[in-house]
Amino acid sequence: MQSSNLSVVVAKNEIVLLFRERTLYILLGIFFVMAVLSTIIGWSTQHTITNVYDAAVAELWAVGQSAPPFPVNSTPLGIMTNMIIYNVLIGTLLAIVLGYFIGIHDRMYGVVKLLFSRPVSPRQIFLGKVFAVIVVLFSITALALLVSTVSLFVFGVFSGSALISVALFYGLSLLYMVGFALLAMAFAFAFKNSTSAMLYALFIWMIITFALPELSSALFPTSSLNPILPPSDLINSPTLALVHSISYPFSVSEHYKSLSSSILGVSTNVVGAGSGIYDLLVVGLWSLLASILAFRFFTLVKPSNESTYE
Amino acid sequence: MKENIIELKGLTKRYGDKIVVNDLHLSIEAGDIFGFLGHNGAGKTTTISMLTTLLEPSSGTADVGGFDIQKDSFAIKHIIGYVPENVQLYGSLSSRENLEYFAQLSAIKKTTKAIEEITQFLNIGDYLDKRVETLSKGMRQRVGLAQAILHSPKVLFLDEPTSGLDPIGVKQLRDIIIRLNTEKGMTIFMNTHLLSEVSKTCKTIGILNQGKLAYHGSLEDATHHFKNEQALEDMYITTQNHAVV
Repeated sequence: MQSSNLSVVVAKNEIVLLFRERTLYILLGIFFVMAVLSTIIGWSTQHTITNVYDAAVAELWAVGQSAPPFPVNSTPLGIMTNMIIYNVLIGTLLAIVLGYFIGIHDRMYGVVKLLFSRPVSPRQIFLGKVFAVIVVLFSITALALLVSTVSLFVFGVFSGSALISVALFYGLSLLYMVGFALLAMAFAFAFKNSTSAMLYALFIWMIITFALPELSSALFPTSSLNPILPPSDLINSPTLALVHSISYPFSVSEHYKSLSSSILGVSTNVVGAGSGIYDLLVVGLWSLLASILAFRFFTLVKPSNESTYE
Repeated sequence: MKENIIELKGLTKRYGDKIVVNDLHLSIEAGDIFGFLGHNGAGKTTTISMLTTLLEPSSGTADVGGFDIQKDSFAIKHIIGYVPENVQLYGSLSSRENLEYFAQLSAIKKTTKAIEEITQFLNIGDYLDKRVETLSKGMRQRVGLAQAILHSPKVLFLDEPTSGLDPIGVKQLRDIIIRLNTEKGMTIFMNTHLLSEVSKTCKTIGILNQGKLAYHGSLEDATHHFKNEQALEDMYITTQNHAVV
């Protein structure tokens, strides 16, 4: 059998095993509910802010005063803003659980020796697992795209360009989530103790999702007032500027948020957001590094490491 | 005279300063049922792991079916079947799903037919669509054996195959091993520390003591070799104290 075929066989088996895990269904359910809710909440937020602004303008005009400009970057795809955050929080968690299970299956069921006794190379097994991660995450993001497209129809903001933007946004989300799935897979390969594997993956997830954004953007309080635009240049302290400039290049989630915001044409709460190519490069590098780490750690999965030989 | 299907020449495995398998020389003829005896920690599993190419030897060589375990590991994997001690399968999959997966990994073209044949041979038809995690240990052992023989290997390696089975399970498995040898012509290499198993199943035996081969010969010859011993158990105890090869 050809090398690629065996990887497909491994991938198919991993996907079947994955869908026998209840935890995955729970996270999938949460993810899709969030995908639906994100647009409802987004629409509701926009609607409320616009109504409040209109009422304020009417009152100001009534007393002969001029009204300030609308303070919110209101665009048709503004209703998708929350999905960026949900992907950063829930999407990545889903990816971690998925990657963890795909990485741990063989050890969990104690079949490493059996697997390696068959005429299949470690490279084929590894590729099969990566293939399974990509196929499942692709299917999930494709379904999320479908849900979002229906939502755009329902809220009357559907157009060809909107669909392209949302598809590009989910494409970027897929790349971002693949990185987390491969990271969890790497730790599942590296640690015999499954709890340690999950904890290390969650530790990195917390650093990327919470710690680095705290250092790069959240130092500036108004940056968290999503979706209100920053009122002025925020980097006015040399110390904060230094911390920001050091941490920002590594803040993968900030780059993901920045590029997602650009794609959807919505306001970003990322301080110092710049070139889309730079953002894409950082997110791409993140997934590449995670895949290299996963491949490196897969070499630790050997029958000889599975038990003390007699 | 039959050709040797397994040949070990000075096979050695070290972990740091500890020598687990020490300069093992051994030949096993095609069609044999070979019982590899030894106490826990004697080096039996390490030997089987090297022969199944799961573990690289520190020195020495070995051939299985004419293929070198280091140079032709892929070719060896095509002609061997392996059932580890306390065989585990994917518990959340059915027996059929497990067998299909391992059949595909073994590059079997007619998967369904191969599974049907093995199912019939091992009498596991009633359990084929049940999840492996719901099966008894004996039945799991049979499904584990099924995955190992799906591709009709020339040599079947069994590591403590009756470990943890009840007496009925032991007898059924023993009968299957003998049938695999007589009906399908498979050479069986079986690790065990149970003497009763060896006396009822094996044609030749090897006794391993602290990584060294203490005895190798037919079960029949063993009784001549150990004239003063009354039973296989006595021989076994003698070899644990003195290397007699």
